[in-house]
Amino acid sequence: MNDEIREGPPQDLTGEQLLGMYRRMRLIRAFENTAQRHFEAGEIAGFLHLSQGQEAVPVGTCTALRRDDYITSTHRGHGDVIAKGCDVKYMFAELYGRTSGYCKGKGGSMHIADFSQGIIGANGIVSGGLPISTGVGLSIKMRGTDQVAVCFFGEGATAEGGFHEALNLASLWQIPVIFVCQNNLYALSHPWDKTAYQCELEHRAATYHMPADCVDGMDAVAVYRAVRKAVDHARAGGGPSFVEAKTYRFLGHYVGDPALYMPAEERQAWHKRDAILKLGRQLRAWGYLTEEKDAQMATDVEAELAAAIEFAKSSPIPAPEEALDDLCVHFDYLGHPLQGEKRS
Amino acid sequence: MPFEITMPQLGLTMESGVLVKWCVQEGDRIAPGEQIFEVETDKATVAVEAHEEGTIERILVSEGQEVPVGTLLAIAVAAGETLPTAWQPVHPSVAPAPVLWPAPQVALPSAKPSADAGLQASWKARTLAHQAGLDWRTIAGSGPGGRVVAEDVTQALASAAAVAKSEPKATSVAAKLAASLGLDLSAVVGSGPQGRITQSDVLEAAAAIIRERAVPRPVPMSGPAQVLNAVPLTGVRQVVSERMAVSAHSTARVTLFREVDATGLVDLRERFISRGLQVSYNDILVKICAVSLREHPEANARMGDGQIEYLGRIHIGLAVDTDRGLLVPVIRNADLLTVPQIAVARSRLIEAARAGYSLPDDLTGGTFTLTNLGMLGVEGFTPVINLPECCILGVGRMVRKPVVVDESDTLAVRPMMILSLAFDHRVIDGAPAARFLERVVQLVQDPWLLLTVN
Amino acid sequence: MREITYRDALKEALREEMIRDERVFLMGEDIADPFGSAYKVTLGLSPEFGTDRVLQTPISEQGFVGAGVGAAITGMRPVVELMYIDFVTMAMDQIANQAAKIRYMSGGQAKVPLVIRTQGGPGRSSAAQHAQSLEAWFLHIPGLLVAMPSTPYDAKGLLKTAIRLDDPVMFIEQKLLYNTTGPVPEGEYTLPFGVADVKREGTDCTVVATSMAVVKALRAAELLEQEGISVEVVDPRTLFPLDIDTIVQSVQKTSRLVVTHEAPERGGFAAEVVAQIADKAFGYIDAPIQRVCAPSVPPPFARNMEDFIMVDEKKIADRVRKLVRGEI
Repeated sequence: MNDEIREGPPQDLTGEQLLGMYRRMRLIRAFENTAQRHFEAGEIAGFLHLSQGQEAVPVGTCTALRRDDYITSTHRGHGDVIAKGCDVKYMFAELYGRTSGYCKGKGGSMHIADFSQGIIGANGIVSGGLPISTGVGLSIKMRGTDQVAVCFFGEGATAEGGFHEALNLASLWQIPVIFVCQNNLYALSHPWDKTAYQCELEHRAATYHMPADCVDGMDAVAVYRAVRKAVDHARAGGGPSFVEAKTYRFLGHYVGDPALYMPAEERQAWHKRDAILKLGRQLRAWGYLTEEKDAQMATDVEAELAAAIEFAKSSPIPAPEEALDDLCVHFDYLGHPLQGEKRS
Repeated sequence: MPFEITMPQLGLTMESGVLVKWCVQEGDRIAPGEQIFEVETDKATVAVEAHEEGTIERILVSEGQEVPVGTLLAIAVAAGETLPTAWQPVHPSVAPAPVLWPAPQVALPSAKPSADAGLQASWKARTLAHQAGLDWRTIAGSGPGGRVVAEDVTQALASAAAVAKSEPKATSVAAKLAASLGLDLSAVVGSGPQGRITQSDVLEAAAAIIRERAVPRPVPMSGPAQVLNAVPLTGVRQVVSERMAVSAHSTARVTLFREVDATGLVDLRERFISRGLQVSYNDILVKICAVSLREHPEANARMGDGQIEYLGRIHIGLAVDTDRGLLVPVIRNADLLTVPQIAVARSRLIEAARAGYSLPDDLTGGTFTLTNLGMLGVEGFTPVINLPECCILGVGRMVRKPVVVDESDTLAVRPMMILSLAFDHRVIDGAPAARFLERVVQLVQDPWLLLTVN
Repeated sequence: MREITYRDALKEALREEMIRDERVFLMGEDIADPFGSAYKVTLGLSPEFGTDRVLQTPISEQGFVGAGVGAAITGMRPVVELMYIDFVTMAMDQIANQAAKIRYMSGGQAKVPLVIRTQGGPGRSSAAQHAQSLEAWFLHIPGLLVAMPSTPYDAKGLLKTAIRLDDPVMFIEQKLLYNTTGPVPEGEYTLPFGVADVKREGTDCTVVATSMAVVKALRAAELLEQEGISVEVVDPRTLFPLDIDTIVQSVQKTSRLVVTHEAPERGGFAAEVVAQIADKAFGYIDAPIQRVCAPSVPPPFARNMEDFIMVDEKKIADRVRKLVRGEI
C-alpha cells in the first residue's frame, strides 16, 4: 500500500482532474450496480454486459481525450461511454427503452451512441469497431484536423481477422488511432491463455509496426499516462499506437452469468486491487480528498443515479410504429422517398 | 412506500428458481447489501442481497418452492410504515400459466394433387367474374387445360348482355301461361313496370293471335321477311358458327367422292352383333380410317404456324348431332384400339356429349374427323374441314343398287355407299388424298384386310 | 448523342463527383494506375486525384469496407470497390451489421453515406466463386439501398446519385456490361433511385429485367416482334427502393408478367416482384406469373455449362411466347 503513494501526487494531472477521474469511476461503478439491480428486477430488457472492476481503463483513457475526439466501444461499453461524457440519465432512458434515450430506444445497452460527443457507439459484434475506427482515423487524416480516435476492444477481439486488418491498415495509412485493449482475461468464458499462445499483446501489436505499451489497468493514472503519450504521438502526426491495459471484470460476462469459470481466489485477488479504492486511498494520501468529501461524493453519485432512474421510468415509451423510423435518410422502410422534415 | 422482493433474473436462460432458504423472517429489518434469501438455479445456488432498507412485512413464498422469474416473494415496507390495506402488488404472486405447446402432429402424406388441380381460372378472370356477379365456374374456358381466362369472361358477359337484351322480362305466372299456350314471349308487349310482361298481357296476346288466325291473312307477295324467332349466337352455336366460317374461308377445300360396296361392312357388323358386341358402322369406319391414316400420314396432318405438322398420334373425331348442336367428341389413339374398344369409347363420348358433361379433352385434339349423315338419308355431301385438321370423311346412306360385280359384267344388287373425302389442298395434295381414300375404300369393301395389318 | 461505354460512363460519374465534392474518395484493391481496377473503371483517376484520394488497399475487405463505414460516419463520402461481389462475404459484418444499421441503432443520430461498388454475373467462365449474382442478399438487409444499372446512361446517372445520397448503397455492376456502349448526354445529369425505366413499350406481355437480363430481354422482344408478339420491358434500375407502381401499370396493360434476372431463381429478386404483383395487381394477371432465372446452382466453369445456366434471349422469348399463346 505504501508503494502507491510513495511517489507523491502526479505532476501531469491537477487535483481537480484527479478528483474528476475518481468521481467518474465511482459514477460508472454505481451505474453498473444500479443497472444490475434493475435488470434483475425485470425492468430492463435484453442483455447487460457490465464492467465493474474495469473503470480505470476508460476513465484513464478519456481523461487524455478532447470532447471532439472519437471513441468506438464494445458490447461492454457503459463505462467507455460514461467516461467519454455520456449522461447517465439518457443512458438509463435508453436501457429502459424510452424515446428520451440516446438512441430513442432503438439501440439498447449494446449500441449506445452519442455522435455529438464523438461516441461512435457500443458495438454488439466483437471486433466490429476495429475497422470502423480505422475509417475514423482515415477520415481525420483526410480532413486534416488534429482529432484522434480511440478504439476500445477486449483481448478476445484480437483473435478476429478484423483486428489484424484494422491494425495493418492503420499502420499502413499512419492514421491517428489509439487501439486500447481492455484485457480482462476472459472472452465470455474463454480464458486469454487459450486464445493466443504465450502472447504478449504489445508484441503482437508491435508486429504491425506501431508503438505498443502494456499498462496496469487497475491504475487510472498509469492508464492515463500510457494513452496520453499515444494521443500526443497521434496528434503530432505520428500515426497509430497500441495500449494493452490489464484489468478484470468483477462479474460474469452478462448479468446472470454465475461465472463459474472465474476461480474465487482469482476474483478475490483482483478485488483487492480495486482501482477505485486505490485511487481513493491515493487521493486521501495526497490531500486531495477528505472523508467528508468522499462520503458526500458517494451520496451525490447515488442521487444522480436515482434521478436518472426516475427520469427513465417517467420518460415516454415509444409508439410501437417508431420501430419503422430512422432506417434511411432518404427513404422509409418501404422505399418511399422521405420529405424534408423527416430527415435528420 | 412498500416495495416488492421478486425472484430475480439470474441468467439469460433462467425461467424459474427454487427459493432454497430465507435468511430473514417477517418483521426483520433489512439493509442494502444484506443477504435476504438464497436461490437455486439449474447452474448454482446464489445469495440475493437486499437493495433497499426496510422491514419484511410479509413473506409469500416458502422455502423449497420453485417459482418463475418475477414472482413476488416478499413485501417489505420502509422504516416506520405499515402496509396499506388497499395496496396491490405489481408483480404476480401466482405463477403465470405455462406455455403449452401443442403435441407435434404426425405428418400424414398428403394426397398428390392432380396435375391440373390449380388455376382453373386466372386471377383476372376470377376478378372480372366476381365484379360482374358471375360464377367463373359456369363459364367455358379456352385456356390451357380448359382454364377460364379473361377473354372467356368478357365474352360470357357480352353474350349475357345480348341474351338479357333479347329475352323479355315476364312475371313467372305470365311465363308459365305463355309456355302452356305455346306463345312466344318475344312477341308480347309488356305493360308491367319496366316493360315487364304480365299475365294479362299474355292473355291479351293470345286472344289477338286467335282473332288473327280466325281471319285468313293474305300472304304478302313481297315485303320484308318477318323474323319470327331470333336465337342469339351463344355457346355451341356460336362456336360452330365461327369455326365453320373460318374453315370455309381459309382452307382450299376439295372433295373426292367414292362409291363403295358396303356388303363386307354390313356383314362384319352383323357378326359383331350376333356375338353380343354393340358395334356400329361408325366404329368400324373409325378403325378403318385410323389404319389408313397410319399408312398415309400425309392425311394425318395440320396447318401450324408457317409449317405443316405431321402428327404422330391418331385421334379421330366423330361428328354428333345433339340438342346443344354439333359436337365432335374425339376417340383418342383410335389406331391402338380394337373395334369393340372403339365402340365403348364412342358410346361413352356420345352420351357425355349429348348430356352435356363432356370432359375438356373429349372435345378437342382430334387429327381427323368422320361425319356420317347416312341415317338422315343423305347420299353424298361436301363436309367442312374441322380445322386445324386437313381431312374429313363424310359417309352417306347405304342404297341397295344394281352394280356390276365382276369382269363378266354380272349384275347384282349391293348396298352402295358414297364416301366423301374433303381435304385441305394447302396441306395435302389430291393424289395423296386420293390414295388415302382408295385405302379406305379397300378396307370398307374387304374388312378382313384389317387382319393383315399390325 | 455521343455513345460511350458503360465503363467510361462510371468513370465519368466518379470523376465528376470527386471534382464536385472533395469529401468523395475511392478505396479498393488495385484501383490506382497503372492497373486502374480489375475492370479498368478507375483507370486514369489516380494520376488526376492522387493516390490519397484513389486509395489502393491491401486485400482486406473487412478492413477497408469497415474503414469506409468509419469514414462515412465521420464526414467523408467514400466509394469503396469490391472487386468481385463474391468477395462481399469477407466484409459482410461491416455491411450488414454496421453500415446498414448504424443509423437505425443510433436512433437517427448518424448517417452512412457509403457507396460500395461491385460487379457480378456469369459469362466469362469465371466459375463458382467469381461469377455470382448476390443482389438478393442486400435486398434482404433493411437499411441498404441497392442499384443495378443496365446501360451506360443509367450507370452514370445512378452512380452520381448514389454518391450524393446519405444512405449506404450497394451499387452492383455486371462484368459483361462494361464494354457495352450506349447514348450518354454530355453535361450534368443524375437519375433518381426508386424510378423504373420502361426500356421498351409493348402490349402482350410485361418483362421485368435487371442488369444483363435487360439486354437479353430487349433482344427477346425484337425476336418476338417478328412473330407479332409485343413485349414491354421494364428495368427497375434500383431494387430498393423499388418502383413497383411502374410494374403494376405495365401489368395492367398486358395482363402477363415474366421476371428475369441472372441470379438463381430460388429466393431471388424476381420472387419479391412476383409477391408484390400478386398482391397489388392481382385482378390484372391473366396467366401464371413466370420467372426466367438461372437454375439454383453455382456458376459452372465449362463454357457450355455456363451457357446452359445463363439467362438468354431465347429462354426469355420461349417463355413469353408460351404465355402469350396460352400454353401455360
